[in-house]
Amino acid sequence: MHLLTGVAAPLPHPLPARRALIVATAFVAIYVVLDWATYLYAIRPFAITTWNPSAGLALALLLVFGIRLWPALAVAAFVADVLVRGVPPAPFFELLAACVITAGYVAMAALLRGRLGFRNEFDHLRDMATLIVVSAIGSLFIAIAYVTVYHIGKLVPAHEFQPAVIRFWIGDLVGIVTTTPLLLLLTRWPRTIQVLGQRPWPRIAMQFGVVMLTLWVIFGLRWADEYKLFYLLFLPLIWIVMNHAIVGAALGIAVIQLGLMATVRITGYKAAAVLEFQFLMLALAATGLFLGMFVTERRAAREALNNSEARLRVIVSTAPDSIVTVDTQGVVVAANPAALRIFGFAAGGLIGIRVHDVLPEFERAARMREVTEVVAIRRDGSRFPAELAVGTTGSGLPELSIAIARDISRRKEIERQLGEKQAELNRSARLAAAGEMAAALAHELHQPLSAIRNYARAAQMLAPAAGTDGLMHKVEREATRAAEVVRRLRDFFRGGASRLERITVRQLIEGALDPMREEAAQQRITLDTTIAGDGIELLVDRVQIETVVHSLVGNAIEAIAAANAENRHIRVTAHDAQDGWVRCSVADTGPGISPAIADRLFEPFATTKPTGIGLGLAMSRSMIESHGGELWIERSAVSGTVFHFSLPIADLKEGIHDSY
Amino acid sequence: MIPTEQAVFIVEDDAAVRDSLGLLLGLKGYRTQSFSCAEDFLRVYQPSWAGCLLLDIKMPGMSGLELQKALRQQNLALPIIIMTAHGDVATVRTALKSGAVDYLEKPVDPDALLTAIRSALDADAAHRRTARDAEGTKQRLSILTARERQVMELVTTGCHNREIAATLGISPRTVEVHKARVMEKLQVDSVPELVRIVLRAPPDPG
Repeated sequence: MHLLTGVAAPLPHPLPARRALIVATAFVAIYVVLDWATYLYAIRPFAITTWNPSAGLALALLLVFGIRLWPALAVAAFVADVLVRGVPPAPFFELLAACVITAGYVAMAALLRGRLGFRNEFDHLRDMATLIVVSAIGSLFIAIAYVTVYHIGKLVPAHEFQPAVIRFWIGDLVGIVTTTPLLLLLTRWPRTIQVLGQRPWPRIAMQFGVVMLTLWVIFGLRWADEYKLFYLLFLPLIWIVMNHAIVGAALGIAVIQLGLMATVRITGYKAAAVLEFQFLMLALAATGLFLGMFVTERRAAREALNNSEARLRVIVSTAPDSIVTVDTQGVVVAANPAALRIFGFAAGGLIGIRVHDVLPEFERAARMREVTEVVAIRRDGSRFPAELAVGTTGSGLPELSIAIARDISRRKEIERQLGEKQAELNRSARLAAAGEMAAALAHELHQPLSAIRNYARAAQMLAPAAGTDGLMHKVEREATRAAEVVRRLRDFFRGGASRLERITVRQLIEGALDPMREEAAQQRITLDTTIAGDGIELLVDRVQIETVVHSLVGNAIEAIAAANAENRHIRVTAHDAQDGWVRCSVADTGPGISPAIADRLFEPFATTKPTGIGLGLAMSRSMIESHGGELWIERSAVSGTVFHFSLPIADLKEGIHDSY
Repeated sequence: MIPTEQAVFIVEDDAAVRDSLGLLLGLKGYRTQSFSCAEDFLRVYQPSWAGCLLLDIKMPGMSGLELQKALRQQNLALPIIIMTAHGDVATVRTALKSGAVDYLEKPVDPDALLTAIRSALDADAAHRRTARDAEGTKQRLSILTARERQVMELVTTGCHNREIAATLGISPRTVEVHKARVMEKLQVDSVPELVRIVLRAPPDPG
């Protein structure tokens, strides 16, 4: 009984007391009836019989309803002894024997359900092996204990001790293997019935007939020794088991056992002979049960495989990604619907083509062993970005590669747009920060610059004759220039927010050049324009572009004037570049710009002019770029300087933009 | 040339700017008085002080615009020249709408400063003269008798002596006497001069 306390045996079903009582009563009744019905070949005067199915019933009870019901077993064992075998010669030992049996089965059930993890579902070979091994060892211990009790009670003489043990043991063990599996399966009767219901009944009837016929051949014809022909029973049993798995095995064994017992009863065998038959029966039952469980497991495995394959098929056919199977030659052998859609093939179209035709970087992705970004090719030759992962079937199978490709062109497009947005935001943020800084700087510098100018003027007035007049004048002029730098810088950053308007190329260029003409004329410079495509409308910030033109033309005038060049000419041109942009240029006949200086030309505060502040070109480029265009200097100009810039043509489909 | 009673009041928080403006204007012969904040100026200023106000807009504490508003509320008509940061159009507009006579962008150009100061002081002088004239006329008008005032008003509307006599129910001769007394009291020699004085006079409280 110590096993009981040591192992927590979980109850399969929490059994209400009322139901437990019904189960217990029914158990006692069936137990007694079974004991009475199988009270054959007993070693008198106690209950040692060659077949004891009540032992199997007891074990099934404890396994199914829990070891809590052990009192029912004790009562049943005692009542059966009294009722079936009459008034006991030694009541104390009868009681003790009943206790031994009860304790033995309780221990077995506890061991099975607890430490050995036996499952009542009874659908694995392991369960079957555990049950048979524990039953064999447990019932041997019970047999020894039982016989020992009676031996101590002087009811079994020493020379009968061993035969009694063996007879008791084989009776219990055959009782268990022929009964317990059947009962365990019957507790799940809906499934058992379902299995049987699917069977063709004529065949089952035939199988039953064959069992009976075999028994008749073995015992009825008496052609040969019954033991030598016993093996014939294996044949119908195997047939049954192959057909009906574990349920067939349990039922078939029960039927054969019943038939065998009936036959030996009818034909009147001696107890010793029946004992030998029971050993044969034990081997037959164990074989049938193991085979049955094996068939059951195999069927369950095949069903699981079928299920998982069906699931996989659904996954592959519903996957939004392209899944293609490729053989060692690089030929596509299977493709899912998404693959056909993504690569633009009709049904069955991908099969048989070379995977390189749609995934040129297939091998590289296979080597990478991780998701790789590749360029994939549709059937019509168009390319798209894809993510590709390649897996290979394991060793022992024909080598196949599974290529899973995902069309990421949409994602790429979104990423690109996000990147542009981000860059734009960064640029705006930088400009805003620079604008704030410029405004703060302007305020802080304008105060001392104001003071410097005032002091310089005051000094000029105080000491006009001391020769410092010119110096003070220069101080004032330089302070003015410094103030101008700060002012322009701030104006530039403040001008970050543009107002776009539609304007024709001619209106824009001529409008910008108008105020320059007088200055050019004063310097005896001819200023002419060549504007192709008069009617082309631009979408630009007019003030900004005019500032650019002023800056470029102003530079040109200064360059020609400073060099005192003989050829004094400035040409401003504009033409439609046919790519959504108007290309403009300002060319002068000045001395040109050396390549070394040209490199730094657009850097802020880099100036070649004595009075310049070096912001004109930097600001001009910045303003053209804020329109999406470019401003650059022509490096290959033969003489003079040529600047080019591009301006966006207003899209006819778009409305007028107020701002961007 | 420069009326000694006029002064340029400089309200500017930056010490160097304040000092240099004072120095420059002082050398040009202007009387200047500098204040480092708007509150100081508002505390000491008397309405009788003539001149103009050179006012910085951006100052800690009370701003230039707030000082301008406070002066208006006290009905003080001192001409104001504001000094703003370059391009601060909104502030300039507000200040000019509120009666500032001119604005200067910082850094202040000395020539522009002197021009603006000159015209502001002239405006102040003219304004004060006008105010003084109006005051004198008002005093002279107050010594007229009721009948003389009636005659004067009818004269300025262009009525002849006979019409006035008929309107007032007196003889043309008496009208002639009243008219002479009015012209004597108001120290005018001709009817057009009389008309000008009456038009310039503040409206009669009666």
